[in-house]
Amino acid sequence: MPLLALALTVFAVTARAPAEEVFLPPVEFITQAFDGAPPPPRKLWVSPELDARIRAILGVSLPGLRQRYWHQGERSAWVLEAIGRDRPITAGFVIDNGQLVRTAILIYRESRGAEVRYPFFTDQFTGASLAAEDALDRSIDGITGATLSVRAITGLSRVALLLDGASKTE
Amino acid sequence: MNSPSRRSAPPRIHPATRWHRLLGMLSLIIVLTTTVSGIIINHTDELGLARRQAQNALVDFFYMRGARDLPQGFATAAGFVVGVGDRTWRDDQLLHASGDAPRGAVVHADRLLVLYRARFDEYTRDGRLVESYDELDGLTPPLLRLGVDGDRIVIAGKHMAWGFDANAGEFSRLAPSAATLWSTAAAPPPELHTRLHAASRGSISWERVLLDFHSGRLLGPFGRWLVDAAAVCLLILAVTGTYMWFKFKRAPPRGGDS
Repeated sequence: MPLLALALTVFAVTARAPAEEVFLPPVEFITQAFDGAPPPPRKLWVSPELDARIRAILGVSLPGLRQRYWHQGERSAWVLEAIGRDRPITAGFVIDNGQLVRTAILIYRESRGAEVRYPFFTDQFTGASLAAEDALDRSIDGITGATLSVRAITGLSRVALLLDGASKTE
Repeated sequence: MNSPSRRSAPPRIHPATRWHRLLGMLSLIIVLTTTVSGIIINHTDELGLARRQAQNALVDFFYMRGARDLPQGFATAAGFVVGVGDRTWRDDQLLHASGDAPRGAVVHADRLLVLYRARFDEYTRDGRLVESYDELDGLTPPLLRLGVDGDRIVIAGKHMAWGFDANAGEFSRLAPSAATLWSTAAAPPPELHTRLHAASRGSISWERVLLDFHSGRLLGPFGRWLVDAAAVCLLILAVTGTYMWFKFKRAPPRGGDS
């Protein structure tokens, strides 16, 4: 019985995650995306039509009427935020020729669900592109206990691909 | 038959037992509270605690809502900008929900500009975020002051200063002149206290209160150290408990007939 109480207590004490965890500084992510020589950031105004498609994916608009991105050749990189449950998750996406080539969780602020940072989850997005109705062309396996974070990152990946397409037609 | 002197000798307590008892008593309350709160936190979905707002005097006290004075903020033509906890408000409108306190705020043309330690936010006058700028845009933290010099927005960092072009959303390095009017902190207007109190009251869920209680953050830095100390106590309890179990398992029973 004392051992059970001890195990329960240790579990309970470690149940709380820090308020903000930086897994990869955004500056480092952008630098890596362009082999150490990132171009200057560009701006994309979110038009009402684009905003409507983003809201259809995320349920809310992106923070900011203007989105910042980096572009060189056919490659673009995006640092986006979405709320999983209570707090924003900052994620980075690198897109090449309309396909995701890298997805990374940069800053995680939620109390639970940080498992989305692991490659077993983020690697699922590699090679994904947009299909009909702004959906991904593949299904993404979820993670038990991290449903809202999985939903947020999957939504952001679709938005990143959407913004990449919009930036090319601008 | 035992001698009188041997009978009156106090029982010998092993040092591990003594430490085990002392630490057990010291950490009992924290262990109980963190265990109960930890179990509840694991079931917040079923209990709906993330959706239910915490509204009572005790929560107001711990989150410095209600009767406490507001910190200093920045008066602008678009309203009073003030940071309360990790939230930034423009009057009673929530501008930003996760960050540090603002270090300056000015209105320039049709934009409200707010400076933080490592971020610079551009809003429309009615408080809609246009864009956030940070190190990715070349702003090296810590950012210290925000000012206006004629038509230019000036941001002063620790080692350099930047001018901000609101039309292009770009920064260029510059040397601030003596004519720069810096945004300075001021006491909030008295009527804002009531409005902000009403607006902020519904912004803290029971789940957050429980998480802060569980981690000790509800009591500030002291609370975190207290919970850390309790965690170390638990580690020592586990070690001394295991040691005692092996030690006394092997020891011959006292007062036997051997």
